[in-house]
Amino acid sequence: MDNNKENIELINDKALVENLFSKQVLNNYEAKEKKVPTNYFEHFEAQILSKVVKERKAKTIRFSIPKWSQIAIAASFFAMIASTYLWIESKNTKTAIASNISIQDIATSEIDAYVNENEAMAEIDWQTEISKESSNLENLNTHLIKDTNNSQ
Amino acid sequence: MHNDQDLIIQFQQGFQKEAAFTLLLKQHQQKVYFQIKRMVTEHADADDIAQQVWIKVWSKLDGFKMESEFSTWLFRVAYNETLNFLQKQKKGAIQNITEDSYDYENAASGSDSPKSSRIQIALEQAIQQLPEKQRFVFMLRYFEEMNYEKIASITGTSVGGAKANFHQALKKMEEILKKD
Repeated sequence: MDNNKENIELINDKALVENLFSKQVLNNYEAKEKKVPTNYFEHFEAQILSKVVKERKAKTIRFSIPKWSQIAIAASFFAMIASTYLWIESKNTKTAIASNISIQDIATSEIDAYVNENEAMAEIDWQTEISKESSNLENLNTHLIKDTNNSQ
Repeated sequence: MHNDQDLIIQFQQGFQKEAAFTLLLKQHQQKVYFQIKRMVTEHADADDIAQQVWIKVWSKLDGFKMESEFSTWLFRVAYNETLNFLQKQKKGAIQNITEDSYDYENAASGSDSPKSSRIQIALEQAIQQLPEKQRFVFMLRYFEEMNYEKIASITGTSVGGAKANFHQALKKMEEILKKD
């Protein structure tokens, strides 16, 4: 029913055009528009196929290069992120350990040992300095005695 | 005659893609080319546009969801490519067809009376003076005998809009004819 209605509508529309221009004129126009070079459509088919095959190959090449580079970029990016994360993490752990220990948590024996050790070091330093200075003074005295004797 | 849908499935599954595409091309290339040719008149231009259309079809067919007929989608691609071309080239402008430049040899009948030759020229002038959309709709309706629903899908308008385009085109051509 709908098809029939559509067909009648089409016939009416065509009749309106053919009343305006003759059917022959319209046929002539169509014949002129449909004139194509010999074997045009056969050549066209071959032309399109060669173009799409070329495009397909080009697409495959284009596709394979970025895929590898994408993997490489992703891998190096991941490595960079991972190493940065590990470095920051280890730094934070050390700081956290140091800041979390209070003086009450350290055993007295450990503190004593630390102090003794450092005192001993300090003593050694002082003894060295004193002996150095005294040897210098002794040397100075010896020189002075020699000089005095010579002048006399 | 192969079924479009089967060929598209074959293409989308990647099974003998080129063979399926070739059959689609064989079945539809003439209608598409002639519709483009009616719009641009020059064979070289029509050939360029038709090539672009088919290359686009090749690259987009994988994503075609078969919500419409393949031919509707194909003509829609052709419509867009033709409009792009006309906008770029500004070839939609009226070409001055005089009786001297009219190619009588290309006309189907050599026994036309001078009156029918005048009408022939008037028809070509009138067609070329139509706005692009009206021209496209007129050609699809008269020469391709398409229903308005399909024309509406191709040109991205409503059925009422497509009908209005056809009748406006007719009215405009009548006015042009009266002027001459």
